[in-house]
Amino acid sequence: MKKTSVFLALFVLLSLSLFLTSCATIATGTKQLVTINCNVDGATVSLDGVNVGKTPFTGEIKKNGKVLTIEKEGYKTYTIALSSSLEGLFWGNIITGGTLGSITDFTSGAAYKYAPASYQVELMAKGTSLNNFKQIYELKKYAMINMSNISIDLSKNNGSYLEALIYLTKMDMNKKTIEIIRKKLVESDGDQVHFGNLIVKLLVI
Amino acid sequence: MRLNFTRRIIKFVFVILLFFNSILLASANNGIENNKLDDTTTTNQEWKLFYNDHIFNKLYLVFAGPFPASPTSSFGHIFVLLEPKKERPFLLWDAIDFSANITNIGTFEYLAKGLLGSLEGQYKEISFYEKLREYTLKESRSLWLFPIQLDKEESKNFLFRFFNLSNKICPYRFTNSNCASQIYNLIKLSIDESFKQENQLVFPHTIINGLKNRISDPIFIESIDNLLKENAKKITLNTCGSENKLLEYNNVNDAILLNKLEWEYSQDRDHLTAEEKINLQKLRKKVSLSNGNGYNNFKSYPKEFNIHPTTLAGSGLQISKREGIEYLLMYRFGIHEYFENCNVYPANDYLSLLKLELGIKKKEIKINQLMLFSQTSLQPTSYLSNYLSWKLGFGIQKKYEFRDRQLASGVFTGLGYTVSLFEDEITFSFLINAEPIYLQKSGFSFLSGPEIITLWNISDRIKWMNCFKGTMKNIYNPEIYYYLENNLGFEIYKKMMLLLSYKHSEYDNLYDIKLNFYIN
Repeated sequence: MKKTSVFLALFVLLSLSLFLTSCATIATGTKQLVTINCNVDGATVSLDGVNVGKTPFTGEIKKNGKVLTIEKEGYKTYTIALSSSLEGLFWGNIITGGTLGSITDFTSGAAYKYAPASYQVELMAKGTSLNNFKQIYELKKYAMINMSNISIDLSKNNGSYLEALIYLTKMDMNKKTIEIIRKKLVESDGDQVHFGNLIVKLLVI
Repeated sequence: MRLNFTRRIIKFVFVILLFFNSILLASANNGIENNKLDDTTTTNQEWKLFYNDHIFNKLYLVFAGPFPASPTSSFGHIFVLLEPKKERPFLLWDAIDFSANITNIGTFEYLAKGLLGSLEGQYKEISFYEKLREYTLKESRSLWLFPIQLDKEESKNFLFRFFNLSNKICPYRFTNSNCASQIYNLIKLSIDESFKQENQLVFPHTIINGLKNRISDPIFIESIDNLLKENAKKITLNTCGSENKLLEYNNVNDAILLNKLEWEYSQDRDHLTAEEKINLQKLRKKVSLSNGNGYNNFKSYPKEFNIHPTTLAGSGLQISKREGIEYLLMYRFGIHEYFENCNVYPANDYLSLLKLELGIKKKEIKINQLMLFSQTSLQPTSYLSNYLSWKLGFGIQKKYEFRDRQLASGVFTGLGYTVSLFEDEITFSFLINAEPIYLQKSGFSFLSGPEIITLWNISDRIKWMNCFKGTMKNIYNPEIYYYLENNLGFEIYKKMMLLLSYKHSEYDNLYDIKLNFYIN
């Protein structure tokens, strides 16, 4: 009888310890290396009200920071809530700290992740129409995130990724347009931010 | 004593099942408010703009394959895709997704809140290219797109309900207020306003069955790792003996390499080094200037959706040289095991949430196995990855390798690697097991030792598994045992399998014959 109780108690304890162990693996360092690019160079980057640098910014930020602010005269101040987020690998270290929240309400700007720990912030110039801002934002975001697939499509002179990019620029899908896109990609030296900035200049508004 | 012990175990199982059942049934209203489309709302300017912007030709129900790295995503995911009336490239179509907000939350809190329903969930609208990137690249999951037939009125109803829900927070629960239940209710209510919303356990694939009168054959979108595997030979021929990645692939297919690096960097990397960034940039430029590479970075085609129910039951006989005949009863609730024929779950990942096998002999009922959780990943090493193979389970198992049979309870783990032959048709896994367990007759023990698992996918319907295990019981005064097991599985009908096993240890020889069938 006693043996049976010990048997069950051990079983339950071992089962619970498994979950607790997986919890204990979450914490990983207190700082995170991030890159923050912006459509405006020289914008001030502040973490919880403390100035940490200017855009383009690459540096370590505290994972337990709450709010990141990007501001520049002539533009609306953009504020992003910093958060830790649950990533895919369940049984490993699953919390990545210091990620930028997904804010796309366009009231003062927008931000997106285009590569590991690399973010693009779009500040909205005062007086800009929301519609124009959205079109630029959508095109640049698409171009930066899908740049590698666009390169692959360019080598074939067609493909879904290239087709969608040309649609967003509002140009016609033809050989001439494909050559223009290829030229922009070569001019950007394969850099996502540079490519995004060059592509938005093609947008017919 | 044995009977008393078994009764206690059965009581324990019932308590566990009652606990989970109470969670399932403790569901308040998780569903969608049954807002009707009426004249008052249709004059709303905001709704009119939304409708004109979202009016669609066709709706697709999208099933994203399971993501074994996260048990809560192991049943797959469901979202919908709108094919707009105004022609637009499909990568820019709108996807509508219901998911939990999981920022600022730890694992244990996530599991507890997810089970109890105190997570927050929200409908989100996102471009299809972002969903495609998330699933096919980052999580290596393939997609099935099922076209749904909706008439004009039903389509308008669907958009109206989504318009009303798009900024609302709903409770999220793994069991019955998840992506599948929410999307299912949204579609069903758009078709029939009197539809009674689902309040039970809902899995992503069960809603495909629930909408079978409305959906057509699916279109399959291949995951990036599958595309890369298909092209693996082009790369591996040229990779020997070189240190620099870019030089390695010189004159090979740069486009494949570019896609491979994107895939590799999207897998749990928190940042890229300066060298990695520069290599990517150079490669993008080089690929864009190259002339045709024959590599297709997006592949879709019609494919049968072959998935099995989550519940499996079975019965059979075990003939032991020493202990005679025992009748077997089996119940399994979970995802996938090696002998199950399916093209949706990853071929080398197996997961069960609850597995019970009872042995009946004369008037005695004994537990042979009660696993509350077991997961095994035997992914072969390849040019794409060098994943470790592993297994993790906790529960109770009958051990056959000792001189007498006894139950072992505790944690069962193993770590090693897997190699494959003939495009993964045959795999060999080498694991080192470590099992801190409580043995029914010997008390607390630590079992360790090597295990070799051979899997041979003879055909779609016939599979063979061999397992050879050496076990060292305890570290001080160790006792050493060996154990051999051979299993042959046949799919004799779509929902029925015949399993034949031979188990050998120095104490006994056992022959099992089992008939397993799925329960919908």
